[in-house]
Amino acid sequence: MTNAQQASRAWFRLLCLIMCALIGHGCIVLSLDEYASAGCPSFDKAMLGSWAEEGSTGVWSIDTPADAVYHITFHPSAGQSRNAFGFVAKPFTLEGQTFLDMVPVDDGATAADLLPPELNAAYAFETLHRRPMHSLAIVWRTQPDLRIGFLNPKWLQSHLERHPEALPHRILPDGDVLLAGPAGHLGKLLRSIPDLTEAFRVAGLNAEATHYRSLHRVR
Amino acid sequence: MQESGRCRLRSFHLAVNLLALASLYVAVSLAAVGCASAPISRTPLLSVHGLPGKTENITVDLTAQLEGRWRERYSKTELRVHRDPSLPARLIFDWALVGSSNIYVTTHANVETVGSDLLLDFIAPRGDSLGAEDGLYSYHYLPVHSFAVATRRRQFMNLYFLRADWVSQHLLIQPDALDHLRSPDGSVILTAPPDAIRNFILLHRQTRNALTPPQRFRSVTIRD
Repeated sequence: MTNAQQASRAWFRLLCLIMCALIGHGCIVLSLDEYASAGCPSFDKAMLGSWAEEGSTGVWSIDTPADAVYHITFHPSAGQSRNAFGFVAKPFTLEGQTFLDMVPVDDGATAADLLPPELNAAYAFETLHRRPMHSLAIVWRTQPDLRIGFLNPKWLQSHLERHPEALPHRILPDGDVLLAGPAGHLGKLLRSIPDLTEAFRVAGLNAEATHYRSLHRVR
Repeated sequence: MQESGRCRLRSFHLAVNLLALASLYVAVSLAAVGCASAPISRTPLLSVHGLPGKTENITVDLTAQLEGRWRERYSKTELRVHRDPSLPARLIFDWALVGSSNIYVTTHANVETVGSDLLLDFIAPRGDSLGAEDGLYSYHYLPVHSFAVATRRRQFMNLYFLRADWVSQHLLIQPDALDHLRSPDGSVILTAPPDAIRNFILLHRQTRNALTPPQRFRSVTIRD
Protein backbone atom coordinates (compact mmCIF):
# COMPACT_ATOMS: atom_id res chain seq x y z
CA MET A 1 0.00 0.00 0.00
CA THR A 2 1.39 3.39 -0.95
CA ASN A 3 1.76 6.22 1.56
CA ALA A 4 -1.00 8.14 -0.19
CA GLN A 5 -3.36 5.17 0.10
CA GLN A 6 -2.45 4.69 3.76
CA ALA A 7 -3.07 8.35 4.48
CA SER A 8 -6.37 8.17 2.61
CA ARG A 9 -7.41 5.08 4.53
CA ALA A 10 -6.51 6.65 7.86
CA TRP A 11 -8.48 9.73 6.87
CA PHE A 12 -11.53 7.62 6.06
CA ARG A 13 -11.36 5.91 9.44
CA LEU A 14 -10.98 9.18 11.31
CA LEU A 15 -13.88 10.66 9.38
CA CYS A 16 -15.98 7.60 10.09
CA LEU A 17 -15.29 7.92 13.82
CA ILE A 18 -16.15 11.61 13.79
CA MET A 19 -19.35 11.04 11.82
CA CYS A 20 -20.41 8.18 14.08
CA ALA A 21 -19.81 10.45 17.07
CA LEU A 22 -21.81 13.20 15.38
CA ILE A 23 -24.73 11.06 14.41
CA GLY A 24 -24.42 8.54 17.18
CA HIS A 25 -24.01 4.84 16.56
CA GLY A 26 -27.36 3.19 16.40
CA CYS A 27 -28.69 6.43 14.96
CA ILE A 28 -31.15 4.81 12.61
CA VAL A 29 -33.46 1.81 12.55
CA LEU A 30 -32.45 -0.76 9.96
CA SER A 31 -34.88 -2.95 8.09
CA LEU A 32 -34.35 -5.96 5.86
CA ASP A 33 -37.51 -5.14 3.91
CA GLU A 34 -38.32 -1.84 2.28
CA TYR A 35 -40.66 0.56 4.02
CA ALA A 36 -42.09 2.22 0.91
CA SER A 37 -45.08 -0.09 0.57
CA ALA A 38 -46.36 1.17 3.94
CA GLY A 39 -47.95 4.17 2.18
CA CYS A 40 -48.83 5.65 -1.18
CA PRO A 41 -46.07 6.61 -3.64
CA SER A 42 -45.48 10.33 -3.77
CA PHE A 43 -43.05 12.70 -5.38
CA ASP A 44 -42.19 16.33 -4.62
CA LYS A 45 -40.03 18.25 -7.09
CA ALA A 46 -39.24 20.78 -4.36
CA MET A 47 -36.76 18.29 -2.94
CA LEU A 48 -34.64 18.28 -6.09
CA GLY A 49 -31.48 20.34 -6.20
CA SER A 50 -28.38 20.85 -4.08
CA TRP A 51 -28.43 21.15 -0.32
CA ALA A 52 -25.85 21.71 2.41
CA GLU A 53 -25.90 21.25 6.15
CA GLU A 54 -24.76 24.07 8.43
CA GLY A 55 -21.08 23.58 9.24
CA SER A 56 -20.58 20.84 6.64
CA THR A 57 -18.22 21.34 3.73
CA GLY A 58 -19.91 18.86 1.43
CA VAL A 59 -23.05 19.15 -0.66
CA TRP A 60 -26.02 16.79 -0.91
CA SER A 61 -27.50 16.65 -4.38
CA ILE A 62 -30.96 15.25 -4.97
CA ASP A 63 -31.98 14.31 -8.46
CA THR A 64 -34.32 11.83 -10.00
CA PRO A 65 -33.99 9.33 -12.80
CA ALA A 66 -37.79 8.96 -12.87
CA ASP A 67 -40.73 10.44 -10.97
CA ALA A 68 -40.67 7.67 -8.43
CA VAL A 69 -37.35 7.77 -6.62
CA TYR A 70 -34.70 10.27 -5.60
CA HIS A 71 -30.99 9.74 -5.98
CA ILE A 72 -29.39 11.41 -2.99
CA THR A 73 -25.63 11.85 -3.32
CA PHE A 74 -23.14 13.42 -0.95
CA HIS A 75 -20.33 15.23 -2.73
CA PRO A 76 -17.35 16.04 -0.54
CA SER A 77 -15.87 19.48 -1.00
CA ALA A 78 -12.92 19.93 -3.33
CA GLY A 79 -9.67 18.87 -1.77
CA GLN A 80 -11.18 16.12 0.32
CA SER A 81 -9.73 12.77 -0.66
CA ARG A 82 -12.93 10.79 -0.36
CA ASN A 83 -15.47 9.38 -2.71
CA ALA A 84 -19.00 10.58 -3.22
CA PHE A 85 -21.62 8.24 -1.80
CA GLY A 86 -25.33 8.09 -1.92
CA PHE A 87 -28.72 6.58 -1.41
CA VAL A 88 -31.75 5.68 -3.40
CA ALA A 89 -34.79 7.11 -1.62
CA LYS A 90 -38.36 6.03 -2.40
CA PRO A 91 -40.87 8.66 -1.25
CA PHE A 92 -44.29 7.73 0.08
CA THR A 93 -47.04 9.41 2.06
CA LEU A 94 -48.97 8.20 5.01
CA GLU A 95 -51.83 10.28 6.42
CA GLY A 96 -50.49 13.26 4.41
CA GLN A 97 -46.99 12.99 5.85
CA THR A 98 -44.04 12.30 3.51
CA PHE A 99 -41.51 9.61 4.33
CA LEU A 100 -38.46 8.25 2.50
CA ASP A 101 -37.39 4.64 2.27
CA MET A 102 -33.60 4.94 2.00
CA VAL A 103 -31.14 2.32 0.89
CA PRO A 104 -27.43 2.95 0.25
CA VAL A 105 -26.14 2.78 -3.29
CA ASP A 106 -23.41 0.21 -3.49
CA ASP A 107 -20.11 1.96 -4.02
CA GLY A 108 -18.61 -1.33 -5.21
CA ALA A 109 -18.15 -0.09 -8.73
CA THR A 110 -16.06 2.82 -7.53
CA ALA A 111 -14.05 0.72 -5.13
CA ALA A 112 -13.56 -2.06 -7.63
CA ASP A 113 -12.17 0.50 -10.08
CA LEU A 114 -9.34 1.12 -7.66
CA LEU A 115 -8.51 -2.57 -7.34
CA PRO A 116 -6.45 -4.76 -9.62
CA PRO A 117 -9.02 -6.98 -11.38
CA GLU A 118 -7.39 -10.11 -9.94
CA LEU A 119 -8.61 -9.03 -6.50
CA ASN A 120 -12.27 -8.53 -7.42
CA ALA A 121 -13.23 -11.92 -5.99
CA ALA A 122 -11.52 -11.13 -2.69
CA TYR A 123 -13.27 -7.75 -2.62
CA ALA A 124 -16.62 -9.41 -3.35
CA PHE A 125 -16.01 -11.77 -0.43
CA GLU A 126 -15.22 -8.87 1.87
CA THR A 127 -18.26 -6.81 0.83
CA LEU A 128 -20.50 -9.85 1.30
CA HIS A 129 -20.02 -9.23 5.02
CA ARG A 130 -21.66 -5.80 4.87
CA ARG A 131 -25.32 -6.15 3.95
CA PRO A 132 -27.17 -3.03 2.73
CA MET A 133 -30.31 -2.29 4.74
CA HIS A 134 -33.25 0.11 4.51
CA SER A 135 -33.89 3.04 6.81
CA LEU A 136 -36.91 5.26 7.28
CA ALA A 137 -36.67 9.04 7.08
CA ILE A 138 -39.38 11.62 7.51
CA VAL A 139 -39.51 14.83 5.46
CA TRP A 140 -40.77 17.54 7.78
CA ARG A 141 -40.65 20.30 5.21
CA THR A 142 -38.97 21.31 1.96
CA GLN A 143 -39.36 25.12 2.23
CA PRO A 144 -37.40 27.26 3.03
CA ASP A 145 -34.98 24.55 4.22
CA LEU A 146 -35.11 20.80 3.86
CA ARG A 147 -35.78 19.16 7.21
CA ILE A 148 -35.30 15.42 7.47
CA GLY A 149 -35.39 13.13 10.49
CA PHE A 150 -34.84 9.41 11.01
CA LEU A 151 -36.88 6.92 13.00
CA ASN A 152 -35.44 7.04 16.50
CA PRO A 153 -34.10 3.62 17.57
CA LYS A 154 -34.41 4.41 21.27
CA TRP A 155 -38.05 5.35 20.90
CA LEU A 156 -38.71 2.19 18.88
CA GLN A 157 -36.88 -0.04 21.36
CA SER A 158 -38.88 1.38 24.20
CA HIS A 159 -42.11 0.97 22.20
CA LEU A 160 -41.28 -2.65 21.32
CA GLU A 161 -40.50 -3.45 24.93
CA ARG A 162 -44.05 -2.42 25.75
CA HIS A 163 -45.61 -3.85 22.58
CA PRO A 164 -43.35 -6.64 21.28
CA GLU A 165 -45.98 -7.79 18.79
CA ALA A 166 -46.32 -4.36 17.18
CA LEU A 167 -43.62 -5.03 14.57
CA PRO A 168 -41.75 -8.18 13.52
CA HIS A 169 -38.16 -7.59 14.60
CA ARG A 170 -34.92 -9.07 15.92
CA ILE A 171 -32.36 -7.67 18.32
CA LEU A 172 -28.88 -7.26 16.84
CA PRO A 173 -25.72 -8.18 18.77
CA ASP A 174 -25.17 -4.52 19.73
CA GLY A 175 -28.71 -4.27 21.11
CA ASP A 176 -30.17 -2.34 18.17
CA VAL A 177 -33.44 -3.34 16.57
CA LEU A 178 -33.58 -4.89 13.10
CA LEU A 179 -37.03 -4.72 11.55
CA ALA A 180 -38.09 -7.62 9.38
CA GLY A 181 -41.48 -8.11 7.89
CA PRO A 182 -44.14 -6.49 5.78
CA ALA A 183 -44.15 -2.70 5.78
CA GLY A 184 -47.87 -2.71 6.54
CA HIS A 185 -47.13 -3.26 10.22
CA LEU A 186 -45.01 -0.12 10.27
CA GLY A 187 -47.73 1.86 8.49
CA LYS A 188 -50.20 0.81 11.15
CA LEU A 189 -47.78 1.80 13.89
CA LEU A 190 -47.06 5.22 12.37
CA ARG A 191 -50.78 5.91 11.96
CA SER A 192 -51.31 5.19 15.64
CA ILE A 193 -48.73 7.74 16.85
CA PRO A 194 -50.31 11.10 17.66
CA ASP A 195 -47.01 13.05 17.74
CA LEU A 196 -44.35 11.85 15.32
CA THR A 197 -41.65 14.25 16.57
CA GLU A 198 -40.79 11.95 19.46
CA ALA A 199 -40.57 8.89 17.20
CA PHE A 200 -38.30 10.76 14.78
CA ARG A 201 -36.07 12.55 17.27
CA VAL A 202 -32.41 12.45 16.26
CA ALA A 203 -29.65 12.53 18.82
CA GLY A 204 -27.17 15.19 17.81
CA LEU A 205 -23.72 16.09 19.01
CA ASN A 206 -25.18 18.33 21.68
CA ALA A 207 -27.03 16.91 24.62
CA GLU A 208 -30.17 18.59 23.38
CA ALA A 209 -31.78 16.40 20.77
CA THR A 210 -33.56 17.62 17.69
CA HIS A 211 -36.06 15.85 15.52
CA TYR A 212 -34.54 16.89 12.21
CA ARG A 213 -31.40 17.70 10.28
CA SER A 214 -31.71 20.96 8.46
CA LEU A 215 -30.26 21.47 5.00
CA HIS A 216 -30.33 24.77 3.15
CA ARG A 217 -30.43 25.10 -0.62
CA VAL A 218 -27.17 25.90 -2.36
CA ARG A 219 -26.49 26.91 -5.95
CA MET B 1 -59.76 -52.28 -46.16
CA GLN B 2 -56.87 -54.40 -44.88
CA GLU B 3 -54.46 -52.05 -46.61
CA SER B 4 -56.05 -49.07 -44.92
CA GLY B 5 -55.78 -50.75 -41.48
CA ARG B 6 -52.11 -51.60 -42.07
CA CYS B 7 -51.46 -48.03 -43.12
CA ARG B 8 -53.12 -46.71 -39.96
CA LEU B 9 -51.06 -49.11 -37.83
CA ARG B 10 -47.86 -48.00 -39.56
CA SER B 11 -48.78 -44.36 -38.91
CA PHE B 12 -49.48 -45.21 -35.29
CA HIS B 13 -46.09 -46.91 -34.91
CA LEU B 14 -44.37 -43.97 -36.58
CA ALA B 15 -46.13 -41.56 -34.21
CA VAL B 16 -45.13 -43.66 -31.19
CA ASN B 17 -41.53 -43.81 -32.35
CA LEU B 18 -41.44 -40.07 -32.98
CA LEU B 19 -42.95 -39.43 -29.56
CA ALA B 20 -40.40 -41.69 -27.90
CA LEU B 21 -37.58 -39.96 -29.77
CA ALA B 22 -38.92 -36.54 -28.79
CA SER B 23 -39.20 -37.63 -25.14
CA LEU B 24 -35.67 -38.91 -25.18
CA TYR B 25 -34.47 -35.66 -26.72
CA VAL B 26 -36.34 -33.59 -24.12
CA ALA B 27 -35.01 -35.77 -21.29
CA VAL B 28 -31.43 -35.50 -22.52
CA SER B 29 -31.82 -31.75 -23.06
CA LEU B 30 -33.27 -31.24 -19.57
CA ALA B 31 -30.49 -33.29 -18.04
CA ALA B 32 -27.90 -31.24 -19.91
CA VAL B 33 -29.55 -27.97 -18.90
CA GLY B 34 -29.82 -29.20 -15.33
CA CYS B 35 -26.15 -30.06 -15.24
CA ALA B 36 -25.17 -26.75 -16.78
CA SER B 37 -27.42 -24.53 -14.66
CA ALA B 38 -26.92 -26.20 -11.31
CA PRO B 39 -23.30 -25.69 -10.41
CA ILE B 40 -22.62 -26.23 -6.73
CA SER B 41 -23.09 -22.87 -5.11
CA ARG B 42 -20.08 -21.36 -3.42
CA THR B 43 -22.12 -18.62 -1.75
CA PRO B 44 -21.56 -18.65 1.99
CA LEU B 45 -24.45 -18.35 4.40
CA LEU B 46 -24.70 -15.03 6.23
CA SER B 47 -25.56 -14.47 9.86
CA VAL B 48 -26.25 -11.50 12.08
CA HIS B 49 -24.52 -13.19 15.01
CA GLY B 50 -21.06 -14.69 15.04
CA LEU B 51 -19.82 -17.75 16.90
CA PRO B 52 -19.86 -17.69 20.70
CA GLY B 53 -16.14 -16.97 20.91
CA LYS B 54 -15.16 -19.96 23.03
CA THR B 55 -11.47 -19.35 22.80
CA GLU B 56 -10.21 -21.33 25.78
CA ASN B 57 -9.04 -24.16 23.51
CA ILE B 58 -7.35 -21.89 21.02
CA THR B 59 -3.61 -22.25 21.24
CA VAL B 60 -0.84 -20.64 19.31
CA ASP B 61 -0.14 -24.03 17.72
CA LEU B 62 -3.68 -24.19 16.34
CA THR B 63 -3.81 -20.75 14.80
CA ALA B 64 -0.25 -21.17 13.56
CA GLN B 65 -1.57 -23.93 11.30
CA LEU B 66 -3.20 -21.28 9.15
CA GLU B 67 -0.67 -18.50 9.51
CA GLY B 68 1.53 -17.81 6.54
CA ARG B 69 1.22 -17.11 2.84
CA TRP B 70 -1.16 -19.11 0.68
CA ARG B 71 -1.98 -19.32 -2.99
CA GLU B 72 -4.78 -20.92 -4.99
CA ARG B 73 -3.87 -22.84 -8.11
CA TYR B 74 -3.37 -20.62 -11.16
CA SER B 75 -4.16 -17.54 -9.07
CA LYS B 76 -2.23 -14.31 -9.35
CA THR B 77 -3.27 -13.35 -5.85
CA GLU B 78 -1.91 -14.40 -2.52
CA LEU B 79 -3.57 -14.76 0.86
CA ARG B 80 -1.49 -13.69 3.83
CA VAL B 81 -2.82 -14.93 7.14
CA HIS B 82 -1.49 -13.59 10.40
CA ARG B 83 -2.69 -13.31 13.96
CA ASP B 84 -4.24 -10.14 15.34
CA PRO B 85 -1.72 -9.08 18.00
CA SER B 86 -4.49 -7.73 20.24
CA LEU B 87 -6.79 -10.78 19.98
CA PRO B 88 -5.27 -14.25 20.27
CA ALA B 89 -8.23 -16.00 18.64
CA ARG B 90 -8.48 -13.71 15.65
CA LEU B 91 -6.74 -14.17 12.33
CA ILE B 92 -6.37 -11.45 9.73
CA PHE B 93 -6.71 -12.49 6.09
CA ASP B 94 -4.97 -10.06 3.75
CA TRP B 95 -5.27 -10.49 0.00
CA ALA B 96 -2.47 -9.18 -2.19
CA LEU B 97 -1.06 -9.61 -5.66
CA VAL B 98 1.74 -12.12 -5.88
CA GLY B 99 5.04 -10.35 -5.43
CA SER B 100 3.44 -7.11 -4.23
CA SER B 101 3.75 -5.65 -0.78
CA ASN B 102 0.43 -3.80 -1.11
CA ILE B 103 -2.54 -5.21 0.80
CA TYR B 104 -5.76 -4.50 -1.05
CA VAL B 105 -8.47 -6.45 0.76
CA THR B 106 -8.66 -7.52 4.39
CA THR B 107 -11.08 -9.79 6.20
CA HIS B 108 -11.04 -10.85 9.84
CA ALA B 109 -11.86 -14.30 11.17
CA ASN B 110 -12.50 -15.31 14.76
CA VAL B 111 -11.27 -18.82 15.38
CA GLU B 112 -12.76 -21.72 17.30
CA THR B 113 -11.90 -25.39 17.36
CA VAL B 114 -13.93 -28.28 15.94
CA GLY B 115 -12.06 -31.43 16.81
CA SER B 116 -8.64 -31.14 15.24
CA ASP B 117 -9.87 -28.57 12.71
CA LEU B 118 -10.68 -24.90 13.03
CA LEU B 119 -13.97 -23.12 12.65
CA LEU B 120 -13.62 -19.64 11.15
CA ASP B 121 -16.10 -16.85 11.73
CA PHE B 122 -15.44 -14.27 8.98
CA ILE B 123 -16.44 -10.65 9.32
CA ALA B 124 -15.47 -7.47 7.52
CA PRO B 125 -13.09 -5.31 9.53
CA ARG B 126 -14.45 -2.15 11.07
CA GLY B 127 -13.90 0.79 8.77
CA ASP B 128 -13.72 0.21 5.07
CA SER B 129 -10.57 -0.08 3.12
CA LEU B 130 -11.63 1.59 -0.09
CA GLY B 131 -15.26 2.63 0.01
CA ALA B 132 -16.56 6.11 0.67
CA GLU B 133 -17.28 6.69 4.33
CA ASP B 134 -19.83 8.52 6.34
CA GLY B 135 -21.45 7.51 9.58
CA LEU B 136 -24.93 7.65 8.11
CA TYR B 137 -23.92 5.81 4.97
CA SER B 138 -21.83 3.08 6.57
CA TYR B 139 -24.42 2.50 9.26
CA HIS B 140 -26.81 1.32 6.52
CA TYR B 141 -24.50 -1.65 5.98
CA LEU B 142 -25.20 -4.30 8.58
CA PRO B 143 -22.06 -6.27 9.49
CA VAL B 144 -22.75 -9.96 8.95
CA HIS B 145 -20.76 -13.15 9.48
CA SER B 146 -19.98 -16.18 7.34
CA PHE B 147 -18.57 -19.47 8.59
CA ALA B 148 -16.02 -21.93 7.29
CA VAL B 149 -14.34 -25.07 8.51
CA ALA B 150 -10.61 -24.86 7.87
CA THR B 151 -8.37 -27.87 7.61
CA ARG B 152 -4.62 -28.03 7.28
CA ARG B 153 -3.15 -31.14 5.66
CA ARG B 154 0.57 -30.93 4.98
CA GLN B 155 1.13 -27.92 2.70
CA PHE B 156 -2.56 -27.45 1.89
CA MET B 157 -5.24 -25.39 3.59
CA ASN B 158 -8.87 -26.11 2.68
CA LEU B 159 -11.78 -23.81 3.49
CA TYR B 160 -15.30 -25.27 3.48
CA PHE B 161 -18.00 -22.60 3.85
CA LEU B 162 -21.49 -23.24 5.21
CA ARG B 163 -23.62 -23.07 2.07
CA ALA B 164 -26.42 -20.53 1.76
CA ASP B 165 -28.51 -22.56 -0.68
CA TRP B 166 -28.33 -25.76 1.36
CA VAL B 167 -29.28 -24.01 4.61
CA SER B 168 -32.07 -22.15 2.82
CA GLN B 169 -33.56 -25.45 1.59
CA HIS B 170 -33.04 -27.07 4.98
CA LEU B 171 -34.90 -24.23 6.70
CA LEU B 172 -37.81 -24.56 4.29
CA ILE B 173 -38.22 -28.13 5.52
CA GLN B 174 -37.35 -27.43 9.15
CA PRO B 175 -38.08 -23.74 9.76
CA ASP B 176 -37.49 -24.08 13.50
CA ALA B 177 -34.01 -25.56 13.13
CA LEU B 178 -32.45 -22.09 13.39
CA ASP B 179 -33.91 -18.64 13.90
CA HIS B 180 -33.63 -16.79 10.60
CA LEU B 181 -35.08 -14.13 8.31
CA ARG B 182 -35.79 -14.32 4.62
CA SER B 183 -34.99 -11.17 2.70
CA PRO B 184 -37.27 -10.06 -0.15
CA ASP B 185 -34.90 -11.71 -2.67
CA GLY B 186 -35.44 -15.04 -0.89
CA SER B 187 -32.00 -15.29 0.64
CA VAL B 188 -31.64 -16.36 4.26
CA ILE B 189 -29.92 -14.42 7.02
CA LEU B 190 -29.47 -16.28 10.27
CA THR B 191 -30.60 -14.50 13.40
CA ALA B 192 -30.02 -17.46 15.70
CA PRO B 193 -27.84 -16.92 18.79
CA PRO B 194 -24.13 -17.84 18.64
CA ASP B 195 -24.39 -21.17 20.49
CA ALA B 196 -27.19 -22.37 18.22
CA ILE B 197 -25.12 -21.54 15.14
CA ARG B 198 -22.11 -23.41 16.48
CA ASN B 199 -24.22 -26.46 17.32
CA PHE B 200 -25.81 -26.36 13.87
CA ILE B 201 -22.42 -26.31 12.15
CA LEU B 202 -21.14 -29.14 14.35
CA LEU B 203 -24.27 -31.15 13.57
CA HIS B 204 -24.04 -30.66 9.82
CA ARG B 205 -20.33 -30.40 9.08
CA GLN B 206 -20.41 -33.95 7.74
CA THR B 207 -23.82 -33.59 6.04
CA ARG B 208 -23.60 -33.93 2.28
CA ASN B 209 -23.70 -30.54 0.48
CA ALA B 210 -24.00 -28.54 3.70
CA LEU B 211 -20.53 -27.16 3.10
CA THR B 212 -19.08 -25.83 -0.13
CA PRO B 213 -16.45 -27.79 -2.04
CA PRO B 214 -13.04 -26.91 -0.66
CA GLN B 215 -11.39 -23.67 -1.56
CA ARG B 216 -7.87 -25.03 -1.71
CA PHE B 217 -4.73 -23.06 -0.96
CA ARG B 218 -1.15 -24.24 -1.08
CA SER B 219 1.42 -22.89 1.31
CA VAL B 220 3.85 -20.54 -0.38
CA THR B 221 7.44 -21.45 0.26
CA ILE B 222 10.51 -19.31 -0.26
CA ARG B 223 11.17 -21.23 -3.49
CA ASP B 224 7.79 -19.97 -4.85
